[in-house]
This record gives sequence, structure tokens and C-alpha cells, in this order.
Amino acid sequence: MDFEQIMEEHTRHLLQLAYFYTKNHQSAEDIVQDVFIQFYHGKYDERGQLRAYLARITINKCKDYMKSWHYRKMQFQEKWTTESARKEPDRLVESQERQTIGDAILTLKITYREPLILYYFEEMTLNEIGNVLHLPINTVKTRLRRAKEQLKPMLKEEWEVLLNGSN
Amino acid sequence: MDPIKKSLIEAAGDLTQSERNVRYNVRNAVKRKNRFKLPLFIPIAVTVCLVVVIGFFVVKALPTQYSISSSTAFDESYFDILVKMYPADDPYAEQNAIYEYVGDLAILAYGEFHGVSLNEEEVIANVKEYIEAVKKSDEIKRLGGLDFAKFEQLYIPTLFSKFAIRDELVELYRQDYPTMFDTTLSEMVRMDAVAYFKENGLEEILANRKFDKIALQLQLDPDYEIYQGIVAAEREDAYLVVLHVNSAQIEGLTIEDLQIKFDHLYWMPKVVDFLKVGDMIEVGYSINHGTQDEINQIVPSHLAINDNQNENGISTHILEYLTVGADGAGLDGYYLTEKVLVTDSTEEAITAVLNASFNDVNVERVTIQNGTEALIHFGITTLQGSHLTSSTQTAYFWDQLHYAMAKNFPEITHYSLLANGQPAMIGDSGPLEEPIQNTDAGLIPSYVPIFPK
Repeated sequence: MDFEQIMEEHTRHLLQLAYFYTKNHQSAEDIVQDVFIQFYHGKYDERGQLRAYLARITINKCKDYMKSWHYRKMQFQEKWTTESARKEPDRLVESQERQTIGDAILTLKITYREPLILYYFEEMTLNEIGNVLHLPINTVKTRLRRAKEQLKPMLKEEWEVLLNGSN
Repeated sequence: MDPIKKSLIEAAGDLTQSERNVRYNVRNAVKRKNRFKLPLFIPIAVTVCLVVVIGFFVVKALPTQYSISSSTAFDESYFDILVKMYPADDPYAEQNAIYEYVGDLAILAYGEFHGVSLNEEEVIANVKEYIEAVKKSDEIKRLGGLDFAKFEQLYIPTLFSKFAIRDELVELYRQDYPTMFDTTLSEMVRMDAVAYFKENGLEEILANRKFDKIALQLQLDPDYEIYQGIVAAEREDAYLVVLHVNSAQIEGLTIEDLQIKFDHLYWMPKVVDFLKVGDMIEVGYSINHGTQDEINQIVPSHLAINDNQNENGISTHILEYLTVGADGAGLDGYYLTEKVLVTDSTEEAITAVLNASFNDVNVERVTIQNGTEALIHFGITTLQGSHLTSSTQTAYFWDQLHYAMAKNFPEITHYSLLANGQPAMIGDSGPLEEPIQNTDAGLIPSYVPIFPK
């Protein structure tokens, strides 16, 4: 599979994954861009699934980005991202009455958002999540449970979907 | 498709244009060859020092009856005991053991730092009591292939020493926070211990051993999310703090206007009176769950007030306190940093330092406002070039800038970046941290060799 084909196949998925971490389209673009550049120059040995491999790089880059002082302590107001940065919380507030599960998940702290993303979006097993996050499986379970506890007051009928699909 | 996955994908919005952007940029980027690696630096000396300190403390802390060698601090056999405490088929046994091991060491080191002394007789008594209980119970079966003598001589004394030190530290903390629950105090001790341990060489120790995974976990588990905010109004007993805004955005607005216009605003109990409307502060937000009874008993309390004064005579007061969340769901933690005004700064000096720090970003001029706010005017050419339109790359750039500012001009607590006269970014100063380094080969943006020059 050539590089163009790989980009064609995986870009959207990686963008979505990065967005769930950063909640910013511009940042997600940059992260995925970096992922592909790293992949291009790196040595992928094709022993594992390419999708999982790229997802892992993306997750690590998202975490690196979120560890930066820039992310943690600065109100980032680049003029070209101001609109998108403001759109998200406003949209959430406006649609509070009909908040979707996806919207609600994105409001959670990363500690709780991350395992939900990996479980539901990446479709990882608890063991795989534990491996990615370097956490004991019980901690993963606890975080998933607490995440759902925090989601419950935000969701109405959709809470049942989450509840039923949580096993 | 799973409905939650579907909902998440919908929440991400339309990414068609983003897809195009990524492919276009990647195609262009892979053609460029101007990349290099930054060296990794591991301060071995710090590692050695900490090993000695901790090892000595462990020896000192343990009752003689159960004494262990000074190498126990990083003794593989001790670590093996921890691993074997978990079921043999537990794939996470080693990771759990690492976490436990590091936690033990952090508590021990932090106790040593505070000069905590153990009541050895009490520890020995507890160890004996526990050992007897283990012998009589089924617990001993859980040890599996573990040598019980090692368990008794090595693991239990260390464990109980840790408990004892932690309890002593909890009592120490209780003097400052008399209204806190034991669980809260215990968590505070743990957090501070890990933070202390991290600052004193944990990363380097872990990097040289097989414990590297735990470092990442410690870093990625922040207990507080820090936001920048501004005091927008006050009443007799509280300040109204609005997050993610600048002073211009709230100017002239009534409290009602603020509540309508902004989502992120909080009434923070006025446990101090030195803040005034317009002050920039940092707010740390955290939620801890408790029972309703526990929540009801909590009253706002100081966690800490740290007064610092830099060499220029500029004072900073850091106040932390806990209060009950508005929704009753738990504890909200607030972290305030008062921004103290300074009157003397040198615009030319900042311009010169930044230009000396950055190879390919041109600082045209710097304007100081109110003694603490710097407007940094950058040349537009580089900023709008293909490299700096990237947010992640800009993050590296911003870290470098922050480092230069924090190191050289700590009195400047807030600064704005203007590109071509237009606001580009704003930020405030924080603790002096080494700027992050992108260590992935081939991913260093070409503008990054900017600091230090």
C-alpha cells in the first residue's frame, strides 16, 4: 500500500481521534499531519495493524500536545482559530436540552474522556486501553464508571443507550 | 455502528476540509529535508543522589528487627515481591507493582523531606500484628510462590513504614487544613509526595530502569485543570471569576450580562481580600466525589498560601483552597495566583532578549502596559509562513517563548503576541519550566532552533 493510499484510508479516522482529545480542528489537523510525516520517515515493520499503529502515534502526539505549557496554561487565541474555538462551547450550551452522548463525552476531563474514546471510538478492549494508558485494568474500569457517572446528569433518554452499551 | 461511536463522530463535525488540508500539507512537508534531532539529556548525578538519600531513609525508617539493606530502595528482589503479590496470570502485575513501588518511594522521600520521624515501636507492633493475622488467615495462600520470609522481612516493614509516614504527614497537613477529611488529606499527601519525587529525579531514575512507563502515567493524570481567568466582579463574600476572557471582553458588563454572555464563570468564596476586579488569576478546577454527608460537612478552607519574592522584589501570593461545588457533586478546587503589578520593565531589553533567542522569528518591538503586560509585536513573514500556521508547532514555539520570558522577565505576568498588528496569541507567565522538546526524529519544525540560541 503506498503512502497516498494510506493517507486516503486513515486521515479521517485519525482526525476524529485527535479532535476528541484536543477539541480543536486546527490542532487535530496539525497532529495528524505530524503523524503522517513521522510515519513517512519512520520504519513501520508491518507486524501490527496499521490502523492501530497510526492511532497509537496519534494518541501519543495528542498527549504530548496536551502536556505542553501552551495547552495547559494559555488561552490560545490565534485569530484564525478563534471562531472554531468559541463555536464548540456555545454549541454545547445551545443544545444542552438535546445534548448528544458525543457532545457530553467531549465535555469530560481528559482523564475520563480518554478511556471512553478508546473504548467506544477506537473499540479497544479494557486490556488494550490499559496498555495504551499504562494503567491497571481496574483503574480503567473505575475511570469508565466514573465517566458514566458524570455523563448521567447531562443526558436524558440517551443515558439508556450508554448504559446498555457499556458492557 | 455503535450509537455512542456514531454520536462521537457527529460531535467531531465535518472534517472534509481538514482531510484535504492534512493531505496537502503532508505532501509538501515530506519533500522538505531540513530536520534534525535534539539530544536527550539525562542528569545521572541527580539519580545517584536520590538513590542514596532514599536508601538511607529506608534504612533509618525501618525497625531493626526487620531491617533491610540500603540497596532496598531500588532492589530488584523487593520489586519482585511486589510483582508476586499479584496473581501470576495478571498481565498488569508488573505495572501495578511499579505504581506501588514508586508510590512507596515517593512517600518515603517526601517524609524524609519533611523530617518525619517514625515511632518504631508502633511500627513494629503493627507489623507483628499484621504478620500474625496473615499467618492465621487465607491471605498467606495468595502469596503463591513468594517466599514468606522475604514477605515478612522486606515487604511488610516497608509497607507499614510507608503507612506510618503517610499518617504522620497527614497529621502535619491537618494543622494547616483542620476541616479536611482524612481521605482528602491523604490524597493531598500522595499528590505532593509524587510531585516532590518527580521534581527530585523520578523521571531520570525511571528512564534508567524498567520503570519508564509509570512516569508517563504520573504526568498524564493531572488532578487539576488550570485555566486563566479574570476577576470580573465581587460581592461581600465572593469574587466572580470568568475564565477564558481578557479584560476588554468584560469591560462595562454587569453581572447579569456576564452570566448571559459567558459559560465559564464562578463565584469563588472570598477567603482572601487582596483580589480586585480586573486581576488576572489562574483557576484550577477539580472534582472529587463524596457522599452527600461528606459534601455537606465541607467548608471552604485554605490549602496553602505561598508567598514568594523574586530578586526584583516582586511578590507573588499563591492561594489554594477547596470549596463545595455549586452542584453539590463534590469538591471544587480553586487555585489562585495573584498577579502583582510591577512598575519597572525594559521594553528594549525584552526585544533584545527575544531576538537573541529566536533565529528566524523577528520581534519588532515590545510594549509594556501596567508594568506586567507585554505586547510583543512579531514580524509577520515567518509567522504566516507554512511552518507557524500549525497549532502544534506553534505550541512548541510558544513554550520556547514562555521559557524565555519566564526566565528573563518573571515580572511580566501576561503577554500578548501580535502578528502584523493583529492579535495572534495571548498567554500569562507560569512556573519556569523547561520548554517541551519534540524528540521525534524528523518532526522538529524548521523554526524551532530558537531557544537557547
